Amino acid sequence: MGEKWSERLADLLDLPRDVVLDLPRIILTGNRRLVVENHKGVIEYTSELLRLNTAKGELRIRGEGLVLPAIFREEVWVEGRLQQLEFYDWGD
Amino acid sequence: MIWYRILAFLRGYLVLTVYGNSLVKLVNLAMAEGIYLWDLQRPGKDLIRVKVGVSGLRALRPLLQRTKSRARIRRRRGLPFLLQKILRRRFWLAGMFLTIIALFFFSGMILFVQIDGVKDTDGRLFAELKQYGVGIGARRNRIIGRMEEIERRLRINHPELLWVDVELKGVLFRLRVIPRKVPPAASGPADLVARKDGRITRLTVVQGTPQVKEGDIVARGDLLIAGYSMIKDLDGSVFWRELPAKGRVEAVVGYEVTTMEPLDLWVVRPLKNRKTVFWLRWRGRLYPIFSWGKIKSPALHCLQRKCLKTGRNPWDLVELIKDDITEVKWEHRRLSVPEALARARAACQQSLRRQVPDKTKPQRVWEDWRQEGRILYYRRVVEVVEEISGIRRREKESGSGIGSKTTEY
Repeated sequence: MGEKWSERLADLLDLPRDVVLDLPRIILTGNRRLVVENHKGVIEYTSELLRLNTAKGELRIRGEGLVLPAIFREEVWVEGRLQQLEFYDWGD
Repeated sequence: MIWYRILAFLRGYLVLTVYGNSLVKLVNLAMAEGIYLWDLQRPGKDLIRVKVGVSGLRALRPLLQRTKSRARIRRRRGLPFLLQKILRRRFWLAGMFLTIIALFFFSGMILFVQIDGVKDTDGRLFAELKQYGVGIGARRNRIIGRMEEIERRLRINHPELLWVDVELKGVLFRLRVIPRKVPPAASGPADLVARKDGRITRLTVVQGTPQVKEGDIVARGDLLIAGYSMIKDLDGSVFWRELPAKGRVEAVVGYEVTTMEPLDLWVVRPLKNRKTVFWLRWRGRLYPIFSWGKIKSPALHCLQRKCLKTGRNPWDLVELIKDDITEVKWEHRRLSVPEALARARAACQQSLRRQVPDKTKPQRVWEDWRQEGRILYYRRVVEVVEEISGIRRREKESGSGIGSKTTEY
């Protein structure tokens, strides 16, 4: 099923888009905490940059003193002084 | 996340520093294997600091080999390691154990006795509280059940106190009182009258005209020192001037107490059978929760009910109640006359202690008793010397001659 059809179906049936379209769910609390659900692994991690792989593309989180308080197969918690969130190569 | 942390603490966890060139790969592999890593930090290019459970480290070892990384244990944390550490320090453990025992022991004691609202300079209230078993070092559980009784006794024995409240707050026993306000001494003309019956032993007049002399027997309300004095003028005229009478009148006052003591007594003796029941009271109804113990005859028992926890909602009040039921037996006891006499004597002495003013010494004490059937009647009389005068304000009398100038012929 094409992506457009899936999107339409999600709209029609009022289904959560992150489930139907396999999108990551990103929860940001101020500039202190970020929770990313449904990621596909860590590409790079330093105290200034975290690059996460998702089904749609790469998610880049820039900041200072980045710490991962919890890291699971489906979920990553990021804490620190968050400065920038970048959706790299996500297409349309 | 908090549950993972609690679980990790209970199971024990390690703080690791991992060195290597493929650390991100290691993190991804650990994630894929379901190894829970937390508090991941990157202090340097080739190292990460991470926390992992004890079981997680075992699963992490092959991954460390695969990614050619080295791990170093920095800290061992959690309950198992803490217990290990504690068990190794035996003296510390013994000290902690003794501290807990001491805390438990001392928290069951009264360590402070405080009286608020009045300065108990002569220690009368402290002494009386001591009589009721309240003092530093007294066990709290022996006092808790007697709080109302202590309050009632203090109220009876101290009419000078308007309000009495006792409170047990932790290790502090607090007595709060409000003294009764006594009207100020008469400033206008006043007489001194007898407050009690007695035989006058000493009369000291400072101001006023004495109406009695030493050796006189007076009844309650009799005039002792009248509130006027005769003044003789230089011209020979005499007039009476009204003034507040002042002086001190000491008299021998007798206190008599009688009591009767039965020689046949029925006393309650607690037996070994006991039962404890916990109830939940909700909306005025009691629901049993659990109980232990057994009593044979429910008719003969002594019940001690204690409310353990009271809810805060006044409408649908929930209370946790504990009942201690002790089986008892009524026993017939025959007292000998000396035994009954000793009991009667103690009861009378206690009653006299309340009636006789403090700081007075008995001048004479006598007692008599008689037996009628199986009852002993006992009487005890104590004579003490005490100040008996009391102030009575004078009413203005018209045409009595007092206050008016008269001439002596």
